[in-house]
Parts: sequence; structure tokens; C-alpha cells
Amino acid sequence: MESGRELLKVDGVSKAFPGILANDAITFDLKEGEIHALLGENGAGKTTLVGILYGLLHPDAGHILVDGKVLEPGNPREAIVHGLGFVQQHYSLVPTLTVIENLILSSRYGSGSALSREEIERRIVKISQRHGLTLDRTVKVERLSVGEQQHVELIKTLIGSPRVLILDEPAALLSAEEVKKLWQILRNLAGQGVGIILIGHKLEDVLAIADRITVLRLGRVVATVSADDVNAAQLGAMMVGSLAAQTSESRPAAPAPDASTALQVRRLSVSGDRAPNLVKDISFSVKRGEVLGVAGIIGSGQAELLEAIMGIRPANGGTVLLHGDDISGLSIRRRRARGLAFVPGDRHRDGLIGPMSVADNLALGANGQPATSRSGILYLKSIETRARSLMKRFGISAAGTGVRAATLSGGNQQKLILARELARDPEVVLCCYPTRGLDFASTAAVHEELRLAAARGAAVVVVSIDLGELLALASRLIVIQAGRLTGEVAADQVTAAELGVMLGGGIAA
Amino acid sequence: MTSIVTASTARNVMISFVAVILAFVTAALLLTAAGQNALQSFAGMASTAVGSNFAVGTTLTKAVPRLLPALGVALALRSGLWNIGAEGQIYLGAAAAAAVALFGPPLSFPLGTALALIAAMIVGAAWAAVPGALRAYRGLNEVITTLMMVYVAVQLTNYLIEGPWLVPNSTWPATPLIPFAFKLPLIWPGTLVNGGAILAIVGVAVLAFVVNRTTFGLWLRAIGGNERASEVIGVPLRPMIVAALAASGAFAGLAGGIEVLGVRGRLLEGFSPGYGFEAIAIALLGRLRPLGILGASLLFGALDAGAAGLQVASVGISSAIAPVIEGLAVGYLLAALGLAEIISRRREARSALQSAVRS
Repeated sequence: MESGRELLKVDGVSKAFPGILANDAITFDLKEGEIHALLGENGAGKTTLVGILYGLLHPDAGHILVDGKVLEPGNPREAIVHGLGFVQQHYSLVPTLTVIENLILSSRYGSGSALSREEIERRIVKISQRHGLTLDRTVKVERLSVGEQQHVELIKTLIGSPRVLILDEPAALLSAEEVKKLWQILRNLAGQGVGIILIGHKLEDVLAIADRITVLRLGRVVATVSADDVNAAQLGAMMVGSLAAQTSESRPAAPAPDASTALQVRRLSVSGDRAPNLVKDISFSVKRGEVLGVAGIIGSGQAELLEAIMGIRPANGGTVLLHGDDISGLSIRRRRARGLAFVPGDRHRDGLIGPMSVADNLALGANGQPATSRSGILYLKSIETRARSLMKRFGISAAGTGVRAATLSGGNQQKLILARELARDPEVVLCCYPTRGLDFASTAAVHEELRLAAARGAAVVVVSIDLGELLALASRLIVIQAGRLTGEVAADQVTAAELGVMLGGGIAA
Repeated sequence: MTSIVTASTARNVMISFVAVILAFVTAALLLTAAGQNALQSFAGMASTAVGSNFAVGTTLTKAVPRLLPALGVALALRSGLWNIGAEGQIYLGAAAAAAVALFGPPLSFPLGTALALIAAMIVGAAWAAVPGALRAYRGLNEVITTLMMVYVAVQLTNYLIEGPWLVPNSTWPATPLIPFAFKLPLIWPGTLVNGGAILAIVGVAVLAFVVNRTTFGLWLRAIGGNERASEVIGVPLRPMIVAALAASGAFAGLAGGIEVLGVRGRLLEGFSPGYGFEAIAIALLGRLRPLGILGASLLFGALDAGAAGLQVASVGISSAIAPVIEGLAVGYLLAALGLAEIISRRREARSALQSAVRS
């Protein structure tokens, strides 16, 4: 593979936005059958580069060459015609249509030549078989898991028989099992001569799959290296620069031994959207100042458990106590007033009011507080001042407090949610997948805020499928398998590998 | 913050303005095709819409029963709820005001009038709260329930007018005239403009204040932006849905009360030619902004007032050209909005890309 023919070359591409040089003379190449990872923090210039490859953005200087031919810049059709295929980070499928219907829809949109239904079905069967993608064509997309939806996206792209496949953060939302499957598929594709560009920020993912890695930082290429020649630590240092390279492996502090119990969950049972009694008979308690990690493979009922504690999802049985008081019968609103805070797993759906401003989103968290309103009348000035200070305190970068929340990057959206939830100094923080899809710096910032909340006396519950994250945050862990509590362990007495075995052996770190 | 709001407001105004201009151009083509001199026809419309103090007064009087329900429709729409039933709330508000004036204690302006109008608002609110509660607690689509309740409301009003409240020996179904003491006074000598116009302007200010400056408005916008997240964040979703539709109905009910106490002087069958339905078009044309709705309802009022002048100026042309222009304006608006949506999505995609790069 190493000596494959050069498929694509990015030659000295530069792109400036007002106030920032997003891409500064970026050069790298992709060979036939190669998996080439572009690695970098948010802001390193990856998104801009993808935009230029796609033809959405017009570079200020430089060229994209495919087979030595220069692509016309800023023209998306050029990329498609020359065999570039993209798999987006956010899936563009219609949830209420079936798999086959989605594929027909996109083929009419994309390629210009409308294929017959039979032709598409034939090609799909062929592609599915060739890549080991087993999908029921007649099932509606909304019933598919995130990983399966990605497979549909992948097929969608492969129908056009691309020679270069570009995937933007493909592993961001997948479980470990699904990631493994994806890597197999990509390996298989590369084996057939397809060149693959993988955009990512997770070191482990990139090292596991890539042949070569190009590290970007602040719009420049730091280096292009062979994956065999580097380790995660070296790559991390390249990504963030030598200064911040030493990631603080600080052990989470255990709560004071005499700390009182803040949250107590007794024999809680909860139904999922499609699974009755998904969570059964779970009991645990969390002390003031303690961070409890909830480990489990995705879909074990952890998210539903937190939703039930928050009152978002009705419990089938059991009680939730806050400082000894039964709050099981209270509404979400009442529970919030008692000091519960919630960071949802799906921030677009449950976390933010996308069309509203940053200031308004923050004001919503302060409902009923004299700081922002009295007798139902809003104090616009205090809302503005408070929003500014929270943006500063939580490091939310946006052009102003009036910017719509939907336009922020994922990391900033998550910080916005944390700011809204933690600004009230809650008694209990329930946190679901707190850093899913976030880059290194944002992840560190989110972790720091959660630690600070615990230090201020909050009882924090963190659900995550990232065992490293749980070990970095929590002082105690509970393990949930198929909706049942199957283990409890102190964080300093277990390694990620041992924890993986506890979860069912699937994930060895 | 202000720059974004004003920028989008400027664009909103532009879109609606272009839609109205296109509607007039199309109407001119239609008139020409029908063998009329379009300019002469429009001049005839202008004469009875804005040609004199009296004409302006007529326009204002005809704008009021459209403006208030439109404010209500907009309020509900800010939370993503469609109040299609303003027409029914207008009729029942009118009935409530008439009942207070006809059968209540012998009071006079301002106390009696205020009581009658408050009754109109309460009944309008209560009528709209029913679909609100059905939506909030039973999941019934409010588009259907609010609309269906229009027919119930209109028939209920008809029953009252033709039955127990019918004026004796009448050839036209109507109640007796309400006591003069209850009437909204005329406020502009030489015209028919009554105190209801002032209430309508107050309504514009109230909507602006409620939506932008109160917790209720913040919740309203939050629900409109993301219903599910609002509930997770702690907005009392179900009570808010009921309250939003009730508040919407109160605006419509007030319009009905003003028609009885300020314009007609009695409750009569079919007094609204569909103000409540026009209100939906006006709310959209006004882009849900209080001042935009004020402008759109003045336009619709002027078209209504101008229809009389059109018939004088252009023999053989039906006054129905006025609603044709209204319909065209809304049609063009929806088309323009579709177009603007496409443009802004492109722009947003680009700016999202830029902000992703910056962060």
C-alpha cells in the first residue's frame, strides 16, 4: 500500500476568514488504498479544509489535484465528478423514510442521473455484500442506531463509486463496538484501492486505523507521519503544542468522609422508548462533593436512569431522595428548584433552544431567580451582564451574547449548557455523555467545570461510555449492564482494562 | 444583540413589503386584463381608504378587528401553536360583551364598557383554552380543534341571536341595541373611529412587552424554539400551552367586544366577514412582529375600505378584488419566505463554517 499511486494532492491551500488564517499553505497527499488521518483540535483548520475539498469554500491560494488534474475551486460538482465522496458528521437522512427510500432520494439529488429503483437496489445489495454492510432495506431510518445510520450514509456515498472517501469525525457518536465495525469496513475499502481521508481528533481512533497521519494546528501542517512511527503521547504533543502536552492525570478527589448523602436512588425502575422496564431495581447514593461515574455499554439504560431521576421520564417504581426528602412525585421544574441540574446526552434535542440567543438560553436557567426577573418581568440588563460574565467564566467563545445558540460549535454549546446548569450552584448534577463529540480542549474544560462543581459541594453523577473519562472524573463507579446494577468499585482500585472486562469484556483499553 | 434583531427585522420588513408590491402589480395586471384602467381603479380605492379624514377613519375602524386577533395569533405562534380559531373567539367575545351590556347591571362608560370588554376577553380566552388543554394534556392537534370550535362558536352565537336574545319583530337576526351608555365613545370628530382603536394600539404594545420583556414571553419563545428542551430546562410546558392559547383567545375576544360596543351597537349574525381567518394572514404578513402586524392590518383595513371606492371608479369590477389582493400578498409572502429560507440557510451554513473555524 505504501507505494501506491498518488490519488489526491492538497497543494499549498490557504484560506483566511476575517481575523483568522484558517488554512495556511496546507500540503499533503493521499495514495491509492491509503487511510490518511487529518488530526487536530477544533480550530486547527480541519473544517475549513473539508469545505475547500468539498468545493463549498473558495481557497485564497493553492490547489486540489486529483490524478494530477487541478480541480476548479469552489465548485462542489467538480469534487463529485472527480470521484470524491463525503460522509458528513451530521447525518442527512429522512428519519421517517426507509433505508431504500433514503438512498433513492439522495441518488436523485446527487448524481443528476436518476437511477431506477431496481438498479439502486441491485447496487446496494452489491455494495452491502462487498463491504459486509448488512442492512434491512425496508426498515425506517428512525429505527436504526447511530452506527447503522452511518452505514446508510456510507452506502449513499459508495453508490457513486468514489475513489476518494472523506469522513468527518466518523467515530464521534459511535460505541466502541460500532467503531470497530467501521474500521473493518474502511480497511476493506482501502484494500480495494479507495483512498480514505479521515478527519478526527481522537488519538486512539486515528492510531488504530490510519496509515499516515497529518497533524494540523492553528491552520498549519505540523507534520505528516507514518502511524507506525508515533505514539499517542507524541501525537498529543503535536496537536496541542509542547506547552499543554502534559495532560494532568490528576486523580479525582474523594468526598470528605463525613460528607452527608445528597442524592439517594432506591429501587428505581424505568421504561425506555421501546423497551418496557429497561432499567430495573437500581439503588445507589451520592454524597456531597462526590463524583459518581456510571459505566456501561451504550443503550444499557444509563441515560433513561438519569432522565427518571430528573423527572423527565416517569419511573415505573422506586423513589428518589434529595437530602432525605422524597422528590419522586415532583415535576422537572420542582426538582430543579430543589437543586437538581441536568446535562442531557443529546444537546441539540434536549439541551438548548437553538433559535434563541446565548443570553436568553442562560436566562432560562435562572428562571424565577431575582437576578434576572421579578414578578414575571425580565431585567434585560442583568440578563445581559450575567450572560457576559458566564460566557467569560465558562470560556464560551461567541461573537456576543445575542448570537443564536444553534450557530455555536459543539464545544461551546456544551459549555453553554454547563454554564446554565452550574451557575445556580446546584445540589446535584446529572450529566449524560458530557464530552461526546468534543475536542481535547473543550473536553478538558468540561471536566474542570464538573470537578469544580463537586468541589463546591455538588453531588455529581456522570454517565459516559468513555471509561477513560469516568476514571478521570469519578471517585467511585457503578456498572450497569442491560438495565441492572452489576458492580460498584472505587476508581483508584481499577484500571480501564479491568473496567472493560466488568462491562462485558467488549472494550479492552 | 440589537444588531441581529434589527438586521433580521429589516429583512422581515423588506420581504413583506416586496410581497405587497407584487400583489398590487398582479392585481393591476388582472384589472387590465378585465379591460379596466388599473391606475384609475387604484385611485378609486385610495379615495375611500385614505382620501379624506373620514376615509382614513374607515380604514382604522376596519383595521381594529383584524389587528387584535392577529396579535393573538402571533402570540400563540411564537410558541409554535396555531390558533386557527380566532373567528370563533371573536364571535363569543362579542356575545359576552353584548350579554353584559344587555343583561348586566345598568352601568355606563367607562366602568360598564370595561366590564363588557373584560367579559369578552375572558370568554375568548376560555374558548381558546379548551383546545389548549386538549393539546397539552391529551395531545390533540390544536390546528384541528381550534378550527372546529369556530363552527361551534358561530352556531352558538347564532342560536343566542335567533333565540333568546332576538329583538322582537325583527326582519334581520340581531339582538336589541345595547344601552348607549355602554358604547365605546367616538374619538375623532368627523369619522367613525372609536375608542377601540386606542385599545388596539395598546394591544400592540402589550404583545411587544409580553413577548420580549416577561418570563412568560421568554418561555413562549423557548417552547417555540425547542419544545422538548424547554421542558427539560424547566419551563412549565403544559400550563404554558394552555396559557398561550388562552392569551391568544383573549385578544380575539376583545376584538369581538369592540365590534359590538364600538361599531355595531348590537350583536348581529355574521358581523365578522372572517376577521379571525384574515388575522392569520396578517400575523404572517407582519412576520409575527407587533409593529409588522400593525402595518399589515392597516393595509388590510385600507383594502377593505377601498373596495367601496373601487366599485365607484371601475364599473363592472367586483369589490372582491380587495380580498384578491390580500390573498396575493400572502401567497407572495409565503413564496418569498421560502426563497429567503433557502438564502439564509446557505448564509448560515457559511457562517457556521466560519464560527466553527474560529472556535
